[in-house]
Amino acid sequence: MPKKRINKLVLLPRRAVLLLVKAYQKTLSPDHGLFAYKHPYGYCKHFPTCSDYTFQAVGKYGVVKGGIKSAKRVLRCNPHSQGGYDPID
Amino acid sequence: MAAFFNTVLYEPLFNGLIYIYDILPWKDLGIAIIVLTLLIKLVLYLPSRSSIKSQKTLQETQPKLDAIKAKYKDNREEMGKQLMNFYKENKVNPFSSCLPLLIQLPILIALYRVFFGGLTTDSQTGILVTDQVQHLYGYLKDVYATTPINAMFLGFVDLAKKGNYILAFIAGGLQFMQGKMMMRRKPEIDTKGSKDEGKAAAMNRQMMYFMPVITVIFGIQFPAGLTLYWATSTLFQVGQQYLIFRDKKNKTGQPVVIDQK
Repeated sequence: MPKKRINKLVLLPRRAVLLLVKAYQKTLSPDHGLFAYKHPYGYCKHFPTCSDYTFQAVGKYGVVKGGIKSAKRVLRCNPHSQGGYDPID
Repeated sequence: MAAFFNTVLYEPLFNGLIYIYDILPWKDLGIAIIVLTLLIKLVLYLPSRSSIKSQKTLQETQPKLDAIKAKYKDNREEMGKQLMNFYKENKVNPFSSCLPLLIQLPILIALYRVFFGGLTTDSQTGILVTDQVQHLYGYLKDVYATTPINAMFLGFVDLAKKGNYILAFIAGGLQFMQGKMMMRRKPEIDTKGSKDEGKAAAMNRQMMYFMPVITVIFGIQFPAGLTLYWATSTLFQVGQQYLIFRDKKNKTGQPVVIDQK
């Protein structure tokens, strides 16, 4: 099997998750989606937002490792944290 | 998973609804829906309280924010970083957190299903269907296995019936009011920002008109009880925004330490 095709297969779950995140951002997301008009200053207290963070983390580290990083980020994004600039690395 | 959802979220809320209905001096499911909606909205509102207060403070430091946005308009990464630093230095945090949102979503879905459930009665007798009675606890189960539910709001609005245009338009109107209020509060930053932001602002304006239309369309499709729920919860948001922004004019230019954590 050509290497290109194997690569595609390996990256399939990653691409599926990325697609889901994009779909979320275009619809339900209070930062990027249809309801963004209700939050003139943005919603998420971090930069990048939780969904952007997830998108980048999964793109870079894959579904498992990137997913764990993203889950930790969402847990960090609670009313008791200060928020702020919080890049992936 | 479905069983877990039922036990943890659906049943407590469903019993809450029927309990409120039961203790009302006059039995009216509409009033019970309104009371439960307001209670839940109040509980869900608490975690976002400080962020909304902060937003108010932020309007007063707007010129400084504009300067940062103009300076870094070609570099979104740097702009975000600088903005976050600005918020930190001024001890304002206008944001909500993602975690409460994730917790709220299942609660709202359960609430929606509870109102559906409370309206699922036998068309002949008005008694809750057996499936729903099984979710009830203790004495409520015994009482409402035989007692019909009064789904007539104020005696003339049939909450189980679909196609209540008046209620749907009230819900849509409130939705519009809510969006309009928020837009008026929206600082004029997007006009001189990057192209991307201009697009987002145009999108936001469209949504302000689009959401009420969607609300009306769904409001007609659903049983009137759900439309009543939607109208109540939007009214809560309108009231909340009104109370928060009311005394805006009394404030001076300096940012205030609001939420130091």
